[in-house]
Amino acid sequence: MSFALSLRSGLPAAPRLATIQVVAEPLTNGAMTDGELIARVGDGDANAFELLYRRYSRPVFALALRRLGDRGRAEDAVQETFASIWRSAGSYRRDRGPGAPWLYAVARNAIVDRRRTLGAPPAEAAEEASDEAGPDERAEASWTAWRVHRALAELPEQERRLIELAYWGGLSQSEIAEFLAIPLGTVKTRTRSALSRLADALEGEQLS
Amino acid sequence: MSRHPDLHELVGNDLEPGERERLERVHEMLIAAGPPPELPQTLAQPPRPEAKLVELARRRLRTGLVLAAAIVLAAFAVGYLLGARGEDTSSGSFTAEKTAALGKSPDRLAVVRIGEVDENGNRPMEVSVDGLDHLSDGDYYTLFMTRNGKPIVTCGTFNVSEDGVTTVRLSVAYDLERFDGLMLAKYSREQRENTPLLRAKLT
Repeated sequence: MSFALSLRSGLPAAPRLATIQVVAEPLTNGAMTDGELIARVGDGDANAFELLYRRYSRPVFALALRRLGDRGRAEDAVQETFASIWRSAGSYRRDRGPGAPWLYAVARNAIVDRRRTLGAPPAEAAEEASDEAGPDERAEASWTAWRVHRALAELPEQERRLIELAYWGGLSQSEIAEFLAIPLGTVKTRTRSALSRLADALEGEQLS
Repeated sequence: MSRHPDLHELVGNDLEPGERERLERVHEMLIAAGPPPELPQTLAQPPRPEAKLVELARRRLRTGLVLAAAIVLAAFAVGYLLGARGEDTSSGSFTAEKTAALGKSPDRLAVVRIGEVDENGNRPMEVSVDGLDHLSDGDYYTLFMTRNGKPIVTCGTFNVSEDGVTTVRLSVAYDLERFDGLMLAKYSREQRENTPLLRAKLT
């Protein structure tokens, strides 16, 4: 692939750009545990890194937003977290515990470092549920949110959307059915399926 | 704030007790967790793979397969991944305002450091490459600034040494805000055309 460039005649109308492909073993197995993915990242597997990012970018962003209280800083913290994951994945030992807590620790440390670098106030950004909560309760809430958001990321899109509409969209099942133009029975079936998958994911995470 | 849904409405009442208990736990956790925030567009994609693969280059270096210059490239690329700005991260004498790693293979990389604009409106630019072929017969490499993937302006041309490792200094006087990427291309005098080799987003 090529394009011609002449400073006299100007730029070509539609230069064709080369596609540079990363040669790596494809990774599409959604059943791979976090620990397995981290181990592969530790071996330099960019595809595993990308899968891990798909699973955890929103939980990390949510945690960073909660702790830093600023979207721009939270975005930076997400970048730093995944840079840190890439650098330190080689130190992860599956026999010492599952992947989710390890990732949570890496994210938390990156966010704390970010906050320290910025000289930001040490307190966690206020949120409705934790206005009067102590550090333990806040930590517990953060960990719960982390686990739930991570599990949500694994749901099929149509089920995740149902959960979001039901829990945070303020819609009843009938309203969801109308909104999505699907039968009420389908909404109920998918919602139950989604909750069951979430339960599976949350129960199984300690083994991953 | 939206109301919390009723689990009975969500799943009905024909569940086995054990399953109902399981779903109740999830139900309560969902309410406690609250909604995950929407990812901003800037986080839609994982960090640039170049930087990750530069780490691979670092590993190879440890095994003696990569030249010493790769250390510098890796350091630059990690800095890029971290979004390091305003830090003098190399042996160069200017402060890098932006650093970008071009390429998706540890065997062929370019790292571009762009300095702060001086009082005359010029920005120093340092290009460090590893793994590129030495060109002859009038061929050369050109670094472009791009917008939406298309090359818009050139930053300069250069060639590399026989071992493929070279650092060159360039200067640009462009408003960086007008561009969103960099592209390194090889120009063939015989064919009178450029072939894109390496690209990176400029953030």
